[in-house]
Amino acid sequence: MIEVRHVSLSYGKTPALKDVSLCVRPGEFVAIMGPGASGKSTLARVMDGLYLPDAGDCLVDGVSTRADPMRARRLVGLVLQEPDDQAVARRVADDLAFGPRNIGAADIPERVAEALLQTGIAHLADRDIGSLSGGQKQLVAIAGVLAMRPAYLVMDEPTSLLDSDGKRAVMDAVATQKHAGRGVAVITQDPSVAARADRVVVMSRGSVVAQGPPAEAFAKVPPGLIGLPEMTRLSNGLRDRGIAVKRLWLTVDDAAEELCR
Amino acid sequence: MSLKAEDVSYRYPGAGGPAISSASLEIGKGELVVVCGKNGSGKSTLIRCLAGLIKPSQGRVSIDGQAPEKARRAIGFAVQFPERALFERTVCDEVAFGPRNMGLPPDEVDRLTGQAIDAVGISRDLMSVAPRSLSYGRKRLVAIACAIAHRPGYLFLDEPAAGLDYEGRTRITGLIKSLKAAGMTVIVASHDPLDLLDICDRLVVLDGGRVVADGPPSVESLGRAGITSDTIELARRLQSCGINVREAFSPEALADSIVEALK
Amino acid sequence: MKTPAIAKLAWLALFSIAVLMAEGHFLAALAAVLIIAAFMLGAKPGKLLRMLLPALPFIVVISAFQWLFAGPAMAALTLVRITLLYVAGSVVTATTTETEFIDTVERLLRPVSTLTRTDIGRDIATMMMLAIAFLPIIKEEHDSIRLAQEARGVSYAGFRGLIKGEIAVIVPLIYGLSARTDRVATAMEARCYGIKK
Ligand SMILES: Nc1ncnc2c1ncn2[C@@H]1O[C@H](COP(=O)(O)OP(=O)(O)O)[C@@H](O)[C@H]1O
Ligand SMILES: Nc1ncnc2c1ncn2[C@@H]1O[C@H](COP(=O)(O)OP(=O)(O)O)[C@@H](O)[C@H]1O
Ligand SMILES: [Mg+2]
Ligand SMILES: [Mg+2]
Repeated sequence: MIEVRHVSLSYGKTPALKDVSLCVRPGEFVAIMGPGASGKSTLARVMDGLYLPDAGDCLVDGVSTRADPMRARRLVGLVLQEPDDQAVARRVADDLAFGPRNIGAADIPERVAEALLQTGIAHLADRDIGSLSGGQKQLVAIAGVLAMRPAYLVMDEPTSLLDSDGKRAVMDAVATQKHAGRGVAVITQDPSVAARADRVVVMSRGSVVAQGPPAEAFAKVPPGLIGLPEMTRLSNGLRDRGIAVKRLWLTVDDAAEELCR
Repeated sequence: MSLKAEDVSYRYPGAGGPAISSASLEIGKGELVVVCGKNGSGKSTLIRCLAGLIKPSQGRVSIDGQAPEKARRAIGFAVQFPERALFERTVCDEVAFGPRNMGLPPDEVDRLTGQAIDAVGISRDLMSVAPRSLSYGRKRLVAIACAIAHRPGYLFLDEPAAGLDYEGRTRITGLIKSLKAAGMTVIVASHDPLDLLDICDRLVVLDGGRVVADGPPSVESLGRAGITSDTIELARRLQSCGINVREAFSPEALADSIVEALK
Repeated sequence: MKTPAIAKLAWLALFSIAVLMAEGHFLAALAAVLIIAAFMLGAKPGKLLRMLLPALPFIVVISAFQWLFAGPAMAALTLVRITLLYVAGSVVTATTTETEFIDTVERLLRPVSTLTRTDIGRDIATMMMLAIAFLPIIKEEHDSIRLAQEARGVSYAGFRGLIKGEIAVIVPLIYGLSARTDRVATAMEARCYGIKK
């Protein structure tokens, strides 16, 4: 389990995290939402042991990142926000080999092949990363971390540039991780991604302002802070138009079930 | 007065196949056109050709009857992530950069700069701050102000909402709406156009560099771009279980339609 | 059969020394050797040409300086030498994946690493890989900012236009690249670079 306990962190005088607590359990998919500058990327780096908190603590499988940041880094795979800045090699397959080599993996070619398949970019293996589109680079960055087979996966806005196919590949990879009993945290601006999480954590100005299963979190969140899933907007819209809706909807099934009766 | 592309193809030097193959389009004054399609379908390449930033390998583009090189003042263009090219010391100088390049007199430059900053909804108090110190969403707005400062008739926006948070995206949608209302012709390239469907006049769908649909947005044309949404899916489900709703793209429009159908 | 990277590197080293020492007819012979090597290693002529084209302006400028300071004969010699070296390097890089290359450099430097009890071999190898990856990025970033500035009405016509236009490119380029190096370093750390095995 990744446990973030009462973490605060500032960059010089700018506070980025204020007393933040949350956890990611094995086999759980947690979505983290929130406006820009609310501290999401900073939180991701704390979970990975890249940044150590000023106050509070972050434990990965019971060990503080302060005690052993390298262990946290190995257990937690972190995909950063900027796909342009994560490539360290020129050829895609060489880039994917970078992480596994750093952790001394023996079966590098197998890991690379597996990660390429999982993200649906096997056809790009020999391409020059410089010639790829933003969306393709985003998938390469994700594959580079999957190739390390981390116990936890933390992704910072991984689908921001992706079309529907790419998004599906990422969501499939999340499902695979979850199935294998690995915990996943995804920072996202896309409510349709968050709607599929086990839990949604909403941040604002360095603090957690709502947290719970998606329907609960979306109901609690202050209006206008984050985008809501389409079906949630619909149930709110019908309520506003004077139609009684029993509960907040998340999926098409929720909505169809209630409306078709 | 219109922008015309006839049989335009473009191939990047050294690339295997063409990025755009024989695209033909005509965009009338005041239209809001959204160019969509999957990653790599050629959206950026097409709008760069239309704006004359790159020269088609084949075919021709004309802007109000002129070659694009001759119609530079009629064109405004914000590339993808335009904030990366900001470099002046103040927001004011940044926005004035374009009009100054066009050799306009100083008082005219000031007037245009002020207007552009108002148009994107940034407070004039921010005119003297450094663009780099602004939030990500604000930087994007400054960059768009730069593209409209010389009051172009045609504005091109490449993925204007990419990477923004909810507030940022909402502002961009509002901005596009108000620019259209002010009579500007706006051409937006976007892989995720759902927010714009209710306000756009036309959806141009690219697939592998070819125009495969061009007309008012419809479920069918969106399908060709590989785009579906929960709202579209639900409308279909409702129709099949006997609730007669209209085709809708936003949940709010669907809510209206459901209210009507249930009456 | 695939030629091991170490053989290619050894060949490149010997070939480079030969090119720097040779003059006249010997250079022509070396050019022939290069063509045969390219053929044997399976380098595609189209790819080599694409690698050479962007470097040509620099090669020409360097040779032009030689002409000014050392006369036409020296300039011609320099032109031929640099071109041969560049193409030879391209033949090796075009036929070697970075992973092979890095592994080989690391292996070659292992004695140094053992001797100094550090990871210096691996660090040098990684730096070389980064340099290979970063050079095209600088050009890509330069071109994309230039496109953005052209979209804002910067004209690159004429000498003054070129200078003024390049300033509008270089400022954000440097800003962008330094922020970028920071982020690349973080990304490398996140991928466990420098972790003790
Ligand atoms: N490297 C840094 N140096 C200084 N301030 C930073 C740095 N990174 C982030 N910040 C600041 O910390 C706050 C939180 O940033 P971040 O974690 O990136 O938020 P988010 O990912 O939610 O947009 C912001 O105010 C941001 O400006
Ligand atoms: N500078 C470039 N050099 C070579 N190929 C490119 C370049 N830019 C784009 N391409 C290729 O052209 C095609 C269309 O790209 P683009 O117009 O950027 O697509 P979109 O904007 O729809 O994602 C893609 O296959 C892409 O790989
Ligand atoms: Mg962030
Ligand atoms: Mg594009």
